[in-house]
Amino acid sequence: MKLKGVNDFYKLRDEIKKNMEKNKNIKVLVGFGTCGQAAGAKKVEEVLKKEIADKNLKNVEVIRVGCVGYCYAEPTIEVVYPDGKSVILGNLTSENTPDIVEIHIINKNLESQYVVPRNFE
Amino acid sequence: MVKQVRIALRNCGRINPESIEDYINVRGYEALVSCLFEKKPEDVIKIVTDSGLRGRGGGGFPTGLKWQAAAKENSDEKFVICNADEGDPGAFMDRAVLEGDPFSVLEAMAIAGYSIGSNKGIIYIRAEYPLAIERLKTAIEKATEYGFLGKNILGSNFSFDIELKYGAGAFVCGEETALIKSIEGKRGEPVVKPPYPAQKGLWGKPTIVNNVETFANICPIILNGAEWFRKIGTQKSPGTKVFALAGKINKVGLIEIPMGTTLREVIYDIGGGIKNNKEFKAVQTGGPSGGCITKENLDTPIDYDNLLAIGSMMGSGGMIVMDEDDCMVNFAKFFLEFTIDESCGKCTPCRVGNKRLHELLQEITSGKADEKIIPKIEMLCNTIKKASLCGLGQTSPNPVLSTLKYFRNEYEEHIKDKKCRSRVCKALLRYQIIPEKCNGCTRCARNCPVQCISGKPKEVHVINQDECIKCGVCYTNCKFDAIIVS
Repeated sequence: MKLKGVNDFYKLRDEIKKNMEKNKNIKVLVGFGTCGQAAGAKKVEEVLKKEIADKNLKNVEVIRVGCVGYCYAEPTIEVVYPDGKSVILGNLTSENTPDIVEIHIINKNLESQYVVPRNFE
Repeated sequence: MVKQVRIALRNCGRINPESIEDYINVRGYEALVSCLFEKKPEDVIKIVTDSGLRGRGGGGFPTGLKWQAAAKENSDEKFVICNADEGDPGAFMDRAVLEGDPFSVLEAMAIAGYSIGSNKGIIYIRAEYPLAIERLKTAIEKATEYGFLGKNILGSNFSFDIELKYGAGAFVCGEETALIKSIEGKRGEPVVKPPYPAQKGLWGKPTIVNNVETFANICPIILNGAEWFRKIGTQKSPGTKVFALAGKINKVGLIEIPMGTTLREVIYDIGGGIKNNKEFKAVQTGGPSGGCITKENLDTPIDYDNLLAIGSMMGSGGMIVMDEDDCMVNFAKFFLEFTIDESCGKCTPCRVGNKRLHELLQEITSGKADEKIIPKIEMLCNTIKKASLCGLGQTSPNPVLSTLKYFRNEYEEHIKDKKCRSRVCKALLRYQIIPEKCNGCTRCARNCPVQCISGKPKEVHVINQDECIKCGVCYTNCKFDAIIVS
């Protein structure tokens, strides 16, 4: 869709914003830069998706994002809840991912041993 | 607890880098729209100049002045080049931006094009960054599809295209004149400035070359204004800087801090301190062109000028932390090896000088040097600095000079006492068996590759120092801690 003028842009932007606001899904952001992938993000993503499907979780989206910067805890994910709160989890493996899904996605807990302290706003 | 401030990395890890909708949702393309429809090119340049933004590739040249110089030129064609030839060992700031937020760089390049009167952008990116390349390609495709790139952007009379050009991984091609030569298909060798690229750059046309991180700062500056940007950081270096924190530190990572943050805050607050509670020795910034910063300067606020004043430099953002186990002579040698590999060979001081310098350091670390070597090293360093053609050679002796300045005693220990306190320089090590602990199990003697350990079973063994090659096999094999290294 080619935007022909400045009004087209504002219309598109407002539409996108409206859709994003309507979206009440839990978003699971997987750090999927070169670094995350090297640390095993792909495997973690597979397990995440399988868990979500197996447990029949609705309203959960898995999204690939770039590097978040917590190299020491890669692979990392960030779970963003519909109310805007979020939690960053680190050192994920295929073994602990089901546990993380249980604690942070199903029970929406903000604390666990997997939480990486946030070092920026 | 010191907080980071994220400007260049504002969207990294927050948005789907392949979705233009996600980007628009976080104010993407608002800056370009406001430039095209509400500001004249000179207004845009004024905002960038007033913001005080300085080149984030390491040089620290004011971005606004660069744009102004290119805008002033009359030419049928001008170029905007994004330098994504990130080459410092251990540095990956630009890769993170390109992989995490590619649209912001494309938008900023279009803004730069509008300001200086250019219709053509080129991203010079290392071929070793396949994922960044893939995401950029996707982003360019989508931006073109929506009309943020291409002919008559959003119905205005401004047109701008961006193409990718792959670098083959030569470090020197991060230097802007060498980079331009490389794009032209010539050997990636620097040429003498002036004329600056802003006057005669790619194909002899006015060209601006800006680093990825510099571009990543542009849109927030346009949206929030120069005043907002000046409030962050220090007077002479406004804004933030992204660093790749690496080495002997607990929380290695990619961080973005306001200029003026001290190294102590970076290492102990954000980085979580030194690994295994060891003692901090030095931090190296500026990669192979930089120097090291010691304990005395831990409280120096980080900005371009302060780092230069203490004998290091900002560089592109590599920050390597060293502890008591690191040997500073060996460390200087490591960076020199990198420089030797990456020197393009065009000028003699850099090609031959660095090689000779490396040989001198090699003499020290192998215990063959005498006291006359230090003045020789210093003279050679200064010659290389003064006589080299480009930044690579002019700065290559910095790691040697700065370690000599702050750790001269370690050099002297190596030379006079033939001792390496960090036990890194193998040739200076001495493996010995403690008679009280040795029970004659013969394990060391059986594993020694040069058979220089003698002794009968159940009797104390002895290492023949003249034949020992210091491989350390006996040390790692001994089950009774009977072997010491000194």
